[in-house]
Amino acid sequence: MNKLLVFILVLFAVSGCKSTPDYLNTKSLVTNYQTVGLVSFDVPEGLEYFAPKLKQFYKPRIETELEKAGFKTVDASSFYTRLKELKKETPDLYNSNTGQLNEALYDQLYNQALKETKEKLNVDIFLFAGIDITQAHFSNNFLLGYTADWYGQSEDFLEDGVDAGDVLGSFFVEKTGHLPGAYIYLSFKDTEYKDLSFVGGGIELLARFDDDGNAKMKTAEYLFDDEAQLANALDLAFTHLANIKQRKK
Amino acid sequence: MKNLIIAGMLLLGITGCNTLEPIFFDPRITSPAIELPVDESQPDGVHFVMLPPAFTDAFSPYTRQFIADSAEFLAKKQLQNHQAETQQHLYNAAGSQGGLYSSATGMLDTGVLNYAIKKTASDLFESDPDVQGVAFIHPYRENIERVNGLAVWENTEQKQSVIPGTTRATGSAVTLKVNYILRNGEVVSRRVGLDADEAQFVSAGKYRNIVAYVLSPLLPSL
Repeated sequence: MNKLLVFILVLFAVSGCKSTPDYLNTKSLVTNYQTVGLVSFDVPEGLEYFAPKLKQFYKPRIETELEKAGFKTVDASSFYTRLKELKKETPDLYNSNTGQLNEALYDQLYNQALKETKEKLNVDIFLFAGIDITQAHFSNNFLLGYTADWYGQSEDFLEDGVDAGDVLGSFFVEKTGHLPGAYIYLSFKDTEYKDLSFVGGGIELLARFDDDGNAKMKTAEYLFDDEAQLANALDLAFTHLANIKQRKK
Repeated sequence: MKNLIIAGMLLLGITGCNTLEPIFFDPRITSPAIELPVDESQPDGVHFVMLPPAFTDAFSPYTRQFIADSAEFLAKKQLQNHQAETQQHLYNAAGSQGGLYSSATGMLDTGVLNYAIKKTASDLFESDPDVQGVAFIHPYRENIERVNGLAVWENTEQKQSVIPGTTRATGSAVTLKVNYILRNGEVVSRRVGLDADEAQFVSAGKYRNIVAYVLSPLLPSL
């Protein structure tokens, strides 16, 4: 009877709740789509200051990694130029009272720009890459330590110099929560903008806790300053892509 | 053994995914009521306008629920809800200057917005001597911290979830900047937290407490 109980609990744990998307791994992507159009490398609002540096660092490395994996890469940034032209040619894309975008019309233009770019550059899929921010979960216990974890990355959630011994006895006991964590993402889309794969690699926390238990944003001079850390995030993303387990059809 | 299987299945069925989802609560005002320095009057209802970017995709679910809860609040008090006509008045004023937003780029024209606000307020005061004030409400997002699932910001508190132990999390919330333009030209501003939850968790009646706080200063004098 105990075995059955364990079986039921395991079944519950394994079955999970959310269905994971049926993403393709590196092998399947290379087999089915040889030429990748590199569309963009985006940096979110608030981190624009770092955009030139991060683009300069990541773009050639992404290209190299894709070519090492067997893809042919093509610069497809002209997609945005074409999209901009199409938007300019289209009247009433936005409601002049509310500012609301006519999404159906925008999707139409977006797909048209993708289609034209595909035909012009002869690409099979598109890659939209960039930096984004997610919630890095932390929990404070003896086994996990004082780290926040996200997209394969792990970082101490206490500021440098904050004594874990002190906070253990007071503020952080049994605390769990989230801090903002930056990660690099690789989003592969087909020529109809459908998701083929999405992977990420954690870079670093944007905020950590100080002695008083307040979340403090890292200052600019301490953000994205470690090239080994940046490179490691890209490795995490490509390792994630290679290791996606696909369902058998 | 059969009973155990049934118990197991029941456990799966009952707990489902919901045990992993947070529970959501309505936001609540933590500050004393707003008092406006206006003369006693008996308007037949309340005039307020939602300002950009209230109806853009990022804010629209919050805005529409705020308007719906306002309608309910005013109906209960048997007062006219003039939001739709005042909103249209703002759009007409903006339209005469080319519109609030560029229909090609979606860019907001702040010059047109300022003109439309002034024009709407002055037209209202001119047409109805009982109107003592109009609320122009501008929603925006700001970063907040949630401690033990409780967010406290801008005169509002909102519990997001009940989680065993102690938690700290950063996040963002929608806040309203309310500018009351008064008949004498004075502008009284208040910031009011509206919602620390994601837009998909907006529900009917969620903003009752916030609506009462924002609109009560414009109600007829007793």
